[in-house]
Amino acid sequence: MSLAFAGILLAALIAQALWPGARLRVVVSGAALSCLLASLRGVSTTARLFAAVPWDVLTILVGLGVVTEVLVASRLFSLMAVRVTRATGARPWRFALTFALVMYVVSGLVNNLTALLLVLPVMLVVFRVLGVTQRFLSLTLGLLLVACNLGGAATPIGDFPAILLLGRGAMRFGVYLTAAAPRTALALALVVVALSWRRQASPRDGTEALRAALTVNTLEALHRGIRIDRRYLLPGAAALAAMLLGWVLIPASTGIGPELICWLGAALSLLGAGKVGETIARRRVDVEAVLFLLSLFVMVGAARESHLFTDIARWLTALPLSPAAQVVVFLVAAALLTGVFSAGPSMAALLDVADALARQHPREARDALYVGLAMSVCAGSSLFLTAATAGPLTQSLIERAGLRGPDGEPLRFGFREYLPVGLVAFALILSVGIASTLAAL
Amino acid sequence: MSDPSLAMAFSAAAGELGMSAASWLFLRTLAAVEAGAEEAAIESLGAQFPVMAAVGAAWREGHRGPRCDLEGVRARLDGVTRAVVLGVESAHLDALVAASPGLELGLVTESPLEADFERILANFGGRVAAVSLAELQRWSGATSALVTFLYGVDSHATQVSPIWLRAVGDDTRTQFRTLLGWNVLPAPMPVYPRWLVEVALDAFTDVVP
Repeated sequence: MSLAFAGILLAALIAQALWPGARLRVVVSGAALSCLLASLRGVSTTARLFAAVPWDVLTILVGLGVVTEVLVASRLFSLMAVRVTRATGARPWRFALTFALVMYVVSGLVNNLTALLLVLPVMLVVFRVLGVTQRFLSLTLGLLLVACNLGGAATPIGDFPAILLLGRGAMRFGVYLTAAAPRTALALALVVVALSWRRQASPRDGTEALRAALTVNTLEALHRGIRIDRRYLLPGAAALAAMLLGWVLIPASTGIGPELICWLGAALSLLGAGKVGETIARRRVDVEAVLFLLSLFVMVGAARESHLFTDIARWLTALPLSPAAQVVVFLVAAALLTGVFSAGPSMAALLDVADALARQHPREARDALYVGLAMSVCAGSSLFLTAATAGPLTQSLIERAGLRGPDGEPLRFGFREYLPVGLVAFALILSVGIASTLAAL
Repeated sequence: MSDPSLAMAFSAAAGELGMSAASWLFLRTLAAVEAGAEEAAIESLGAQFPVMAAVGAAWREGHRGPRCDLEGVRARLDGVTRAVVLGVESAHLDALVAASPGLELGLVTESPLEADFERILANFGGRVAAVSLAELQRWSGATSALVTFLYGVDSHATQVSPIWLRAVGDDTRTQFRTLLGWNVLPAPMPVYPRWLVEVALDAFTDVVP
């Protein structure tokens, strides 16, 4: 029976990866089919499958999205991008590095997709006025996407895999943060060093200073009257700060879990934002992401009821390998599966296997295994342009921008242009994840 | 700096600042970084963007900023309570917004160049509303005006953004009290007005030369 549920899950994962334009229809249908099969075969009921959905995880996702939207209304992100450009003097490599670093930090705190959407228009102006080469465009955007992925994995609220660990109670906020932040920072540093040899920005024709000055002055002129709107910055930043304090300081023994802290913070930011808060609550909640993940959780829940994941974990632990080697096999498989299926589906499916594997190890080693899994998922998300949602979005923005190189040639940012950066990032992030996990076992 | 990349840079600025404002910005910036660099830009960009050629000619004559007869505009908008602007010239729009606190202002969100109108409008702190061409008639009335920027004026004709022709037909003309043309160039353009269209001066009820 577990094979039937595995088949539905696998077919849905493959179909949504092959036809991203139909991914919501695919997973919603897959979830409905799983419910039907589970009910007909007496494996479970729809009510039981829905009760097993980690609603706390979905609450945290929606809550963080809401706080991000309140911060967006303050124009914080676009003005931050302008200031970063000014601070770097629009010197190409300094600009690329600083943006990567800023997006790494931002992605650890808010929804990186939204932040990226607001920062990219400013970067497009810089690319146009600065006159960049194909190589520099690919490198800068590739590094930016990798930094977003690493930032998302650096904190328990940065991206879905870490939120899942926090929401399901697999790890505490502080424990995850202290373990993951240094590892992701190290991986980012290694990626930057590895990519820096490819850094030629634009033809060296003696006009670099003129280009840089034009870029900074144009960007400032385009944003000359735009100010940060404190009406939204204050409630958004206050709510985020209160949530961070709550996650770090409030013990689980109080019964106040991370999802409730997030819900309270989101409500606080919406109330503080006044009418705009009401608009955000009604129109800006990411229903697509919620529906997608809900459907995945239902399919995973049906597969779990049929003991699929315990079977996989049993198979993994029965491999004629040392426990450390089994962990390496699991982490590499997780990274590759994420590269193909993206982070949400693979993390939702693999966390149960990780749970089963973790039970064989002491508490500290379990934490390292979970962080290792988050790093593997991050490595997989960085492998192909299509592995994380931000990739195709960046690709379409660049296509629409119609950028041209120094000699008027059209510039692209697609699968092929990203791949060299993706392969380097994949290898380095996965290596850091595996090495740090093995060191803790 | 190669011609294609400089032209792309100029288009990026001109789409949101306006041809005239972008020309002045480029010339001032280039001259400040490297004396004489602005001459190369006038030659290179002037052939593709006639407004740059006109601004470049003014620069050579010693002008260092755009022509902006704000008092003339205010006098002609006396009694007008709402005005819709067609085309973007940031220096002139900034001045109009600052000088007309009681005037309800809209900006038609169409441009022949690529432009992020959300960003353009954000510069005015909520004082200027986005107006699509379909919404134009909602702004009409006995105390309403249409305003556009003129790129050089001679005895009978001028050049305007093509958006003006798309928006103002015989039907629209009669629904606004004032059709105001606001000249932003110190002299008529020396080359063929690519990106712009020629219209007769009598298409306007008022012209600020």
